[in-house]
Amino acid sequence: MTRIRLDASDLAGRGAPGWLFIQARGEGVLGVWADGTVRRWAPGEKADVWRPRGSAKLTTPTLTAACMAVGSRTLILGDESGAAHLVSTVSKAGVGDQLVVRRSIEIADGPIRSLRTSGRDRTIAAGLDGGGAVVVNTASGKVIARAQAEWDVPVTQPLLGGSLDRLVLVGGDGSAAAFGLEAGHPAVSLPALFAKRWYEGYDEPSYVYQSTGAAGSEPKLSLTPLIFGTLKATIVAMILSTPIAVLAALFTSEFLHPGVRKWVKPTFELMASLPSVVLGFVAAVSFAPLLRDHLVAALLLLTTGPVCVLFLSAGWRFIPEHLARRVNTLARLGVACMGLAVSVVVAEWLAGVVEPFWFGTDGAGAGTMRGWLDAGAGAGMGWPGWFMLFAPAGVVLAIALDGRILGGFWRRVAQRPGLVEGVMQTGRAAAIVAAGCVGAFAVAWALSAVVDPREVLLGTFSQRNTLLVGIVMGFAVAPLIYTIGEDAMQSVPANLRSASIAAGATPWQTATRIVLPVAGPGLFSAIMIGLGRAVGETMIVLMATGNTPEMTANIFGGFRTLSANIAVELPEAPRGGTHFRVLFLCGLTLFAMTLVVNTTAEIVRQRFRGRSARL
Amino acid sequence: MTDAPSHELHHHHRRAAADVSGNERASWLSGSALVVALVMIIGLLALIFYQGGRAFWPGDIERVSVSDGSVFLGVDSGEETIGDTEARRIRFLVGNRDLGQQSYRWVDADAIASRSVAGDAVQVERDAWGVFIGEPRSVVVRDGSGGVAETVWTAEGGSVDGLRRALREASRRRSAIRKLSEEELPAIERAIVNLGFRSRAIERRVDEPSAPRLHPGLWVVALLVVGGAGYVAVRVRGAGLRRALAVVALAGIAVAALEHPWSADGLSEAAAARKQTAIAERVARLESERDEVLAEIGTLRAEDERVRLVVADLQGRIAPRGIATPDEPMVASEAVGLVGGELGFGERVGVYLRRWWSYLSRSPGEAPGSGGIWPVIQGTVVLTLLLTAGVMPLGVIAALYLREYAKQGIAISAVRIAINNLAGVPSIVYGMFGLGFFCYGVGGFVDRGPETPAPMGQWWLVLGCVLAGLALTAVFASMGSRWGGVARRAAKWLGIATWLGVALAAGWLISQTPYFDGFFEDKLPEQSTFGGRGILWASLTMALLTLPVVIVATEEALAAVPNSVREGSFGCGASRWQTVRRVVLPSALPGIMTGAILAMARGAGEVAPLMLVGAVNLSPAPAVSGEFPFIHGDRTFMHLGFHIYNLGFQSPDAEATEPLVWTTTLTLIAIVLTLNLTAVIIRGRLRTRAFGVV
Repeated sequence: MTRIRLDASDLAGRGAPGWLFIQARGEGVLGVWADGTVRRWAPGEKADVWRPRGSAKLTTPTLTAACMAVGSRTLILGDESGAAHLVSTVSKAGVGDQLVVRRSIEIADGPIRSLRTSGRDRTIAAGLDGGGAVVVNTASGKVIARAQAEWDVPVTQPLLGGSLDRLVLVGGDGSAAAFGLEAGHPAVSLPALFAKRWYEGYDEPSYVYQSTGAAGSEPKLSLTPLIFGTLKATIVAMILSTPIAVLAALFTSEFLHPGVRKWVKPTFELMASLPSVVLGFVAAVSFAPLLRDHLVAALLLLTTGPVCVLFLSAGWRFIPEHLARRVNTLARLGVACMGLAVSVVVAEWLAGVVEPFWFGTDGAGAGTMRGWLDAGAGAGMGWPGWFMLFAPAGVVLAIALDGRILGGFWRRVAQRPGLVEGVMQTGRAAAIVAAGCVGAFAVAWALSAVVDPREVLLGTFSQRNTLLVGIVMGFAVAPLIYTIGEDAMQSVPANLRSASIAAGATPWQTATRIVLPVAGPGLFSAIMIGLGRAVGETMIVLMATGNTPEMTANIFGGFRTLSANIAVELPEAPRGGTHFRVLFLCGLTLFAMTLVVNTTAEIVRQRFRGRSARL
Repeated sequence: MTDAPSHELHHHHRRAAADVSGNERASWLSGSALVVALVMIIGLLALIFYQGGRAFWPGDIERVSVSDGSVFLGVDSGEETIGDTEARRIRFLVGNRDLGQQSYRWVDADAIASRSVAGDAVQVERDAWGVFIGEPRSVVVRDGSGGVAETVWTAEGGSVDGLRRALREASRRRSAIRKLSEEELPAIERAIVNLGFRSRAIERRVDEPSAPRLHPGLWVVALLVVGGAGYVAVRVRGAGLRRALAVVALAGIAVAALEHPWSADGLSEAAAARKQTAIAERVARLESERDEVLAEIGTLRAEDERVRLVVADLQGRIAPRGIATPDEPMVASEAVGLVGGELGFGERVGVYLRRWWSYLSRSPGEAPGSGGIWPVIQGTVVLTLLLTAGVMPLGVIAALYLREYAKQGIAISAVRIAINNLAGVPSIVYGMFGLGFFCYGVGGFVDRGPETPAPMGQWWLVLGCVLAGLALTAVFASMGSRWGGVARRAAKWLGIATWLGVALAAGWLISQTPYFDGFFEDKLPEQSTFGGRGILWASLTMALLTLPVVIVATEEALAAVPNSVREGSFGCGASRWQTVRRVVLPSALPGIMTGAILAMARGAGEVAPLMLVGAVNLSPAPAVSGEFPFIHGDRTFMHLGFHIYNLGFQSPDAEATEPLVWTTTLTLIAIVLTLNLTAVIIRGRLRTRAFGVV
């Protein structure tokens, strides 16, 4: 036995604390005074004198009751106004241990005379004046029961049965009363499920989902990270798959020979029926290492792809008209295929050139993008990250602007295909690319001065990440959007096209200004249906991510979706318990999300059908 | 749809314009998008076919000397470059996991001193520890004390073919043991356990007081209510007295049935004793049968244990009997397959086909990735067939109603939205629904009856209300036919509302009945029968999931039947039902088949809901077997998709099982693609035919 002294020299004249508690593993002692002073002592340099390690002065009315929550890591203080305050130790780097009020719960109108925990979970009973008591769960803030004894002296001992089925109140004069309790699912309330909460052992309020924890730990059942993960995966998948699917549908419907289309479309339908477990497996086993080893190339491909196509179309103008006329659509697709192969090679070559230069000049990233990502915000240059994200948008924007602003000019100076026209168009393509890249660089550079990309959209790299899921989910979603979108474009009456062509419009003008607007609602519903599929996709997400319920926008990080959460946890959840029900709530949330999306899509589609029938 | 000639014309215009305008780059862009999508699809399929197809292709065993002095036997299984450098490293399958090494070994290409084909080495394929690569020495039969009684085969002068012949007998014995211990023994044991439950149930019933009986007063009230309802129905409709009487009679029979006097009372002591004796006799018979089987297994095992295969790696370590006994040679029958070190092309093809066959026809072993996938395929097929049987009647009837009978209006368009919504509901949500509704709800009800049966009085009151409601619907119907205008519409809606109320109340009556205490109550609480996960509930869940597919496909098929055909049939005097049955349905059949095939393909490929409602890693007994009642809806099952997930992500030696996951994937893809292709072809034919009719 060692005799220890709690150093309270600065609190002289205050008298002994009203309540004293010892923390979970004996790492500290907590003292509480009625005026709201809370002080923590922990062993210092000398073993026999415990120094103050954190203190707090609550600005609350006089404290009237106190107890330790289950696990002895949180102090629960009741005050004169009927509120309970949860006080915990928080250790922050540089500041040291601090005592903070994590949460305050209004329990009653009058003063709280006594507090007791259930000993099993975060439920406490608070004894009041006049023989009343309130049973409340501190994790969710939910009031489980209010009891009133027949006598009217203050309750000094509100005792809770271990399985929350019984409440016994003992009054100051020794009279007692027993009540039956129906606890239900006390750990769940709307704020507990959706709001930012300050959990025990955390530095600050946060959204946390953690269904399994040590016995007595605070339940953390926030659905927000799961909904966030669902939306994150969906958004990345839609950004990657929608342009490809819509453009491919447009080409199939408007430019492809019917004989070829007859084969192309069923191919996509087969793709749509591919089991997602297969996609998930291939993603995890084949694509994940590929993406890890060719990360920069994969990101650059988003830019080099459109650029190569641009140059290809410009280069096509070198071929004299009488030769070009003989080349049919299928052969053109073959040329496009070669162009894309070139873009892959270019991306790989560019990656080898720029990676050490962008990500290793000051040694921060060891010359690789993954090292740069892991180094965290502020290390090395920030702009290359932004640039790689903006460059594809920059190039596409430059193409669009060129068409819109300079379209008339180019039409006037356009000549018959040949050497002059080829050189002119190539120069034009080069100008577009340069403009796009310069624009993207300017934005990236300016933005990196404000915020490092690794604080926002990028971050630590994990092999099974959001980008990977986005790409592979694209496999699942694109055929769906393609098939329905193509149907919508096909149902645009042929006489509209003929009229447009007859009025002198080019096929591309016809496609974008006649077919797309008319088929717009159908296309919209196709995208919505794709969105619905992406939201509910389970196996791909389950297999191609680490399933960590984190809440960052990092596209190289993991996440957990609602659907994957159900698939992972429901087989193990005990039937009828709180966890089981929360998982069903996940399912309901998912269902509600898809219901809204699908109903919108369906209503739009029905209207569209009616309209295209009238046309 | 655009018809072909105008499209040709359109096409002609387009090319002429495309080549002079000069701003067609965007069309190049969209063409490239199509190419990207196609390359993605074809690339993915090619990857699966390549990886799945090559997994079983045997390579030569090589003797590899590394520059650090070590020598090992291995099979070349691909190479890769190291990081960004030019250096390459080679992956060798070395097996021998029970000697404490990884299945694969990476060696830098520069570090290899020499490699040569080892013609005298063999790959011994085993279930428990994977492949063993080494040089065979002998096959011996040991005597009782562990000495060698007989040498069947030795490396001196013996060929690999000879070795294979020597092992054939052992493998035959192995499969006999397997059949006995994995099929016959468990079946007998299940029967014994079931008899135990039955015996306990009889015991329970001896002490049981008689079942609840209806109060005579309630009898009178019930009959009065029923009779009154019948009377009202007859009066209002004006006709159908016989029908009303039939209703009353049926209600009487139902009431009597609910009283179930034949099972109400507990058993008498004597009857119970008689039954118990009969059960005891059967148990004794089964137990002696079990002992016989056990004895037979014992004999076979002892015989099996004696035959040993001695095969050693280059360091002289032999393939052990078990990991704890490194000096004892392995039991010969553990060698499932034997592949020589140097193979000609014909032999390679032979080994390749044999491996596929053995993979497709055998059961999975205890170790993940060992054995084959036959029960997995079986489970998938049974599930698919059950779900088709479940979804087809429902889907076809729904589509028939929507297309042939219903008046198109707001209600039907709402139903259509609902159906398309169902198609978009995430599959995992179906899984949750299946778990909550089918497994725990309906299954629990089948097992033990209602959890909290309604009090008698309340139940009979609701029954009375249901009957009164039925009478009310008749009233509303007749009002509808007599009056006009607003009253008519009001009557119609009131009728619908009453119907809904009656349907809901009838559901409540069934689910809360105090007269039913489950078909499998005897086994509770130890063993739930239908009250848990199983193939029946899984296939019903999948039937719901595929319902929209079938409805949409069937509707499309019905729409393709020209109206002139229907009108012709009506003109000949056929009724609507006759028209539908004899004219419309036969011509829509190919389209309906398409729906069925699409549903099957979806059912075969979907995994997420199955994880919740019954797919397992290793099912103890097949869902379809020779045991009565042949299809066991309550059993869990294995499924190809779940097998992929499970093998790919839960296996301890992921590198060794990966090729097998690819082959499983290939199998699944082959099934799904075949089904879908069939559907596409049928649909194509259907379309041409439909256009031909028009």
